[in-house]
Amino acid sequence: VNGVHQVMALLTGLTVFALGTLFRTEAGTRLERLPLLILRLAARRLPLVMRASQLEEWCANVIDEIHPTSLGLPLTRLVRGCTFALSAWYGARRLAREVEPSAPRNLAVACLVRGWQFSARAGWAADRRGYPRLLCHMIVYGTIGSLFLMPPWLLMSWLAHADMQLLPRLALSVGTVLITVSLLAICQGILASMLEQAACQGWTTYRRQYGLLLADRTANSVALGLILVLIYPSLLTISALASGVVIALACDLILLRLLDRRWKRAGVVPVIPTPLLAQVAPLRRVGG
Amino acid sequence: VSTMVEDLRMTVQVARVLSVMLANPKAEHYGLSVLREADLSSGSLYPILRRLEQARWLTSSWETVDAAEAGRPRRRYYQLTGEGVVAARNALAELAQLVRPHGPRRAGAPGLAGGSV
Repeated sequence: VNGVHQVMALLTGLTVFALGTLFRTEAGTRLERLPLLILRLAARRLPLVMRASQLEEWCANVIDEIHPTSLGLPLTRLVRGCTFALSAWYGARRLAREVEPSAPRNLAVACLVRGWQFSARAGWAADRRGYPRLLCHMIVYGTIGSLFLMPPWLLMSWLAHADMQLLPRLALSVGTVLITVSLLAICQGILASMLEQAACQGWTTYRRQYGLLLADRTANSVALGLILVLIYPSLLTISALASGVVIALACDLILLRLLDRRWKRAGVVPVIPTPLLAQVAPLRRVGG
Repeated sequence: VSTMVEDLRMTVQVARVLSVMLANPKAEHYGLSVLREADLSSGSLYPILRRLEQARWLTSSWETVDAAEAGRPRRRYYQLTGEGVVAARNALAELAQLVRPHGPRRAGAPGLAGGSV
């Protein structure tokens, strides 16, 4: 090894070091901006009228969240900032619906809560105390859950070649994971609330509260998520399940029709109870 | 000008936010501090704050600071209204009564009737 080689090795080393430092700085700077980027995306989910002000509020909060307490801990800051921003992104639809009730829901939630009114009202009707609602939810959400999983299963049945099955399998897996993850994100607060209630009130009241809680649309998503997870391993039995579920859905619809008439005659609008305080106002009378 | 507060769907999360704000009802509360004290996620907190604001339980105001000069966006502060304080106290008291173990039961409350359990 002569001197020229040594000099070249040294230069190469220095160049790699310098480039590495530059890349680190570049990556660090860009990553620091990631929460703000997510917040901008979140703001796009809001109605125009509140977008700018909400983004400003979020940004002020996230900057305070990631700066003073965890200075010098870039990963901690990144995780905190992204957690804040992703949560805000997810909650943006809910926020939008507070201002504009017609604003769209989160896609996953929109798909999953479709059966909410059917089952909650049907359950309410069967017994206004809440217990049969559990059963109604099981039936209706079993329906929706199986409908989610039917198309990929049918595709897999029709496509005989093993390689061709990869795509529907992948779609099924990704879809299930996405739904489950989004549900877990939604459920976090509700499950905590339920545990809190259990701690406050004892398990006896908790079981009743659980019945009431199922009428809450967020909690419905939890129930559906759990059912989806339970159904997934027994995918091959879906065809058997689906036929029973179609009958159940039909029953639910008929029950709903009957109830609508009954409620209209009685002039009563059922108010779906929410945890705790909603118990105070069980039914709202229409027109006195 | 009369500012009647509206009824609100009360959940445990809303109750947490209210209890944090009621700890110092006259103070202006910053979103992030409420978030930390109430131990909520940002996705839950802001819809609740918006709901409370729309129900006139609280008002919000922007910090009077130049963002460019301060080097950060201005903050939004939340404060309970007079009616909001009363309504929040009542709501939390009612909640406390409901969650009291073996407490008296309200007549006609759904889901609690037929208490054979």
